Amino acid sequence: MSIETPRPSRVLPTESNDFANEATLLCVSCGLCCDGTLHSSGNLKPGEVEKIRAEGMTIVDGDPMRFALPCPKLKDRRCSIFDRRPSVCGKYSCKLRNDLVDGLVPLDDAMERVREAFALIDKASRRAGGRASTSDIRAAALGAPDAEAAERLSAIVLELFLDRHFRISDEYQMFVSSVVDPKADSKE
Amino acid sequence: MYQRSPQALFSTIGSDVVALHVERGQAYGMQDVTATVWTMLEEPTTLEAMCDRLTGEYDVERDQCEREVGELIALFVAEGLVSRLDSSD
Repeated sequence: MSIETPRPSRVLPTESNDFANEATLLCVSCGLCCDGTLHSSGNLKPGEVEKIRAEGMTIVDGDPMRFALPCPKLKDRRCSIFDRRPSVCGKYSCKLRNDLVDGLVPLDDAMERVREAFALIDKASRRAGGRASTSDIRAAALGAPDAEAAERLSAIVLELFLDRHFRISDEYQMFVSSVVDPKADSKE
Repeated sequence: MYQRSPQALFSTIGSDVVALHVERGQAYGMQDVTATVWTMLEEPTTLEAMCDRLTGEYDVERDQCEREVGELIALFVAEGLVSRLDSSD
């Protein structure tokens, strides 16, 4: 297990006067889409692979080619290469942001969900001795052999929370629902 | 009478429950009434006692409650999350 650089402090801004809109305020308070928490990589268009590689980002082979997360260009929850960022970054919007923009979730509730996510991340990291990376937490949730049961439970709780509130669709979600409920529709 | 298995670790997310069977490694998510039933299993309890509470909190007929909660408890037992203590229920 590698030890990553410490996470920046999770202090949330309380004033929205300096931000263009609520969605922007939410995004710069969060950063979970960029820091490896929600996703382990981002898709690249064929024509931008070398440009992104030249920025010093790690390219992951595949179809499509991808760049690895956590993104090294995320600084204090903001993109340090905003005008040169991968195209997918400009298009991506998580479920929470979508719900905010669609008026389904007020800003205060959205910010609270971000705080809850931070708290669950801290708990999952502490369970692993305070040194767990996002990939380590994800591995624990999926049943890594070296993960203790309590550590795995904390990781699962986190990933389910992210599935429910942040990840956009089944394609990106960590867990397919397998709720023990006689009334629940079963997923084939 | 039923009680939670010592093999079942669980945590709550708001009103929802996530449980993990330690030995089997299987994880379960519970919401709504399922989560409520799990919460009621904090101490050993009977199907009768659980339905006494549920029929007071929800608009459900007694026989329907006993049937559906009985099915849920049977699932919990089959999954190893809950143990049956005796044959009194």
